[in-house]
Amino acid sequence: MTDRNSAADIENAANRWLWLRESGDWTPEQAEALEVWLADSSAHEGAFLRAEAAWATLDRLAWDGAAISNVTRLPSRRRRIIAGLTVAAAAVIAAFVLIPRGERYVSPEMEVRAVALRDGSAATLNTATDLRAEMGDHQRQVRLKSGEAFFRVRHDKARPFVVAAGPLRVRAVGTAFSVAYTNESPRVVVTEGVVEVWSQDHPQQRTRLVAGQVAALSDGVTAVETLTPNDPAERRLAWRQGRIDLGGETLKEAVERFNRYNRVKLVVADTRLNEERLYGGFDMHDPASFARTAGTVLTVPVEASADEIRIGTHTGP
Amino acid sequence: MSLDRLKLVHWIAAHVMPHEPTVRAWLSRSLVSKADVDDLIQEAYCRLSAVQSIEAIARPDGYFFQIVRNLLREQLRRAQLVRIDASAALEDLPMGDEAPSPERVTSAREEWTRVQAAMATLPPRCRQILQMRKIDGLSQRDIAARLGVSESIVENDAVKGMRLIMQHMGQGPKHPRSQRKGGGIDRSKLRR
Repeated sequence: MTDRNSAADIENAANRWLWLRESGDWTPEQAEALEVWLADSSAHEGAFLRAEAAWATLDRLAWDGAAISNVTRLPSRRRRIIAGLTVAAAAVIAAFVLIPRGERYVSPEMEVRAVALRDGSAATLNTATDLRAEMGDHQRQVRLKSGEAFFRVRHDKARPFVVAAGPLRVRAVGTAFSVAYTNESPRVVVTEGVVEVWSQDHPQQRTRLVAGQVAALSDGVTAVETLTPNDPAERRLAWRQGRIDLGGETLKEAVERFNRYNRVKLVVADTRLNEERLYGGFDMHDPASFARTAGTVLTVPVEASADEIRIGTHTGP
Repeated sequence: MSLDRLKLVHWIAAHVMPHEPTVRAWLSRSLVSKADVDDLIQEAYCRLSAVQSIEAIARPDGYFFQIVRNLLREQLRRAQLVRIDASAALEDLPMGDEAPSPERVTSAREEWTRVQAAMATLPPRCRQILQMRKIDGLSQRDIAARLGVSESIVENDAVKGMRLIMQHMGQGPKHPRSQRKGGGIDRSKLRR
């Protein structure tokens, strides 16, 4: 731990490297120089990782900052009835198939997968997702055929990154967002930076979205919604961490969501419970623990068998 | 950045960094000088960078504590003069159970508040530059053009801003139990 330079000097140097890398014009020569600097001492390596983590923490600024600047007043803080906290890791094995033009990535049902795209961008595929990526010299094109994917786009001004989902088009240069195409109206959630959204049929009518905004395309019209700190973009993307984060969804919706990820199915036996609203974060692969919590909150019995878990008791005919 | 590295960085941001104030408070109220604390923390992050599988770590806070404890033990072992004091000191250090329990791991909302509080302490231009980068996605060149200053000023302010943010987050809120309990150790002996 004895270094020529003080910890403070090293920290400063690490921060400077990080800013250089993150501020737009990062060259292969600089990347090489950074490698040399990192290899120089373990303190350098530690300081740089710490700088990266601090920088990642500032990501929170993006979605919330943008959300706040768009609402006049902060809504009162919603109380979370259920406090759940789980972190499950997403599977990191990619189903990767080389096809004549570009690459195809698919995730099977009930699984979330992270893949590295050839341009250095990263994608996380929600369950039952099928997409094709074509990294051209002038444009990076991704077609989302079905499902939902989160993209962390590598900055490359010369090659815009465009995602197509049905008639929806989303264009980014270097930012993070997700696109879902699970029903008729494709939608996009932006967590970092800025993207441009338009309909294939009206390429002139483009909408700019900033971090913390959601847009859905329906009948060629883009509806934009700005999220609040109580309903952050991150909540909608909790699946990336293997979580289901409920912010007032109904029991019916919650059960449908869990059933997308598990073989053991949840069943609401008492249909009167369907509209009960729930709050909290859960491990998406632990429907039993969700069912128990829901049973406690709604004061109804929960019964588990080999392939299903019943919430509430069947009443009426 | 590779995906594994990205995962590691985000894992550290969410589960390790928030505990830095606790670790620092513990180190400094026990026996270590400010400069040594900084060294130890940097070294601990270096060990973290070698982590192969974050999935295997159930308690990131406890893991972080353990790394720091081991580093401190190594350091004390090298400083032979204080061997007796040192073993006493290690006894005195909180074990894993003083580390925050999983239930106390910060929520996203708390983290957001923490980041906002840290941002509020920055000089206006530093704050603006970080916001322009993080929120608007502007490059250093674009930021310089918008603010009408040189790129090197933007760079210096950004780096300064990051340092202040890290300082603020590293200190954390004032710790209520920062009172050191008895068994005094002569700090000067530990300086090398």
